Amino acid sequence: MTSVISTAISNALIVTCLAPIVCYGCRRSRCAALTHSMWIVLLVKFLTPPLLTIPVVLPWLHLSHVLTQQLLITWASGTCLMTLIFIRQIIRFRQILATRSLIDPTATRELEEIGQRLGVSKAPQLRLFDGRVSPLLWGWGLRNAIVFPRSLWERLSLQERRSLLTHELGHHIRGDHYVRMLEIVCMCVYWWHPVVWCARYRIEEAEETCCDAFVVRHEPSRTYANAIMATLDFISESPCKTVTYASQLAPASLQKRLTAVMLRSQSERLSRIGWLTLFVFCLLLLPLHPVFL
Amino acid sequence: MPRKASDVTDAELAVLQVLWEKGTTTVRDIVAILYPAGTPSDLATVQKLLKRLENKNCISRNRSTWPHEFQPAIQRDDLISRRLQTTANELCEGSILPLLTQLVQLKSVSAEDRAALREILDDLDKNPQKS
Repeated sequence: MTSVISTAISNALIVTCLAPIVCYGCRRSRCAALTHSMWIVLLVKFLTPPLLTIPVVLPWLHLSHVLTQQLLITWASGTCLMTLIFIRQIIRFRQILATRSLIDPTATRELEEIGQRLGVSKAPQLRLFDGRVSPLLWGWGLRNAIVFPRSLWERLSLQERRSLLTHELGHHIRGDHYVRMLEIVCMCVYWWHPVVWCARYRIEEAEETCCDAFVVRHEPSRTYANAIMATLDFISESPCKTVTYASQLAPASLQKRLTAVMLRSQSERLSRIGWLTLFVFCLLLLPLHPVFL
Repeated sequence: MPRKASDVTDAELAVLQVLWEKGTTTVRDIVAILYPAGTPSDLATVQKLLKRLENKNCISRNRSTWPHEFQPAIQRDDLISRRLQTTANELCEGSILPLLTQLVQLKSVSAEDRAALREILDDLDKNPQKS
């Protein structure tokens, strides 16, 4: 147990030191695929044991036995609480989805046709939902579902619907639902570490850009951009008069995203240099295991 | 504290739909449409539903006539819009949403910002070299 805790703390320390470097590097490269991969590697580092011990000596702050115990109890309590919160949310989400959404045969046929064109052997379920949400992919791989608001479905043209479904299928093909699982485990175990929350945001932002790039390889850019705007119009038709953003930079990030769509300036795949960078990063990062003085 | 109009149940919504179609109407007219058999228990059910809708400020009752007349106090579009939002809020309760990958992770964008984004799209459509 002591070695597990020691590994967990040393992994957290390494990630803390590397996160600013990754942040700076990703900002310089401006490649969404590389950003996505690098932040995932950081999350993986949180959880992996030392693969190859290369001792790096670090000074360790000596805490009293009582304080150490209290910190560990707080850590464990936080982990249990986060786990319970997530379980509750997942159960609740499934219940609401089961009662407020339906599998529509016509919509499912549309999705299956797109899936066949993209080489997807088994497309996720498509559920038309009676609520004002953005289209989303839900699930952990066993039986994924694309949740699409019914009102939005009815107001979009066939081409616009196809572009949004291609986006969601892009997430399914890329396996982004497995990354959600990784995020959940990290958020449960390292709920106190800001890099986990930052990594989650960066990963999801990069995923959207990569899937946008995937869409514009198969569908016209303007049609897809129009579909995104129609989605924004739909979710903004709230009877609540106050405008709330998920972040203060939301309009700026939307502008960046739509510009990338129109100019097709991003790729969802890593270049050779990107793969090399990632390989070197993994090689240097994953084996590191500091030894405490 | 009166419940919000967005908490209308499916049975209450059926009554509201009759009122939206018919305008001002009585209990018996509503029963005749929703429950053609018109048993005493159906009448009691509709009366109960009307009472609940009145408490939620969804309908108004004219007590100066006999039988009392009812009319809708909320527009269909407003209620539908509120229900869509309530359902969305229930689905996406909280800021930590596990296992979701959303196309747009925003709750709302102002009309001015959306208009500005559309201008940018039009500009990029006409001048793709300008970025």
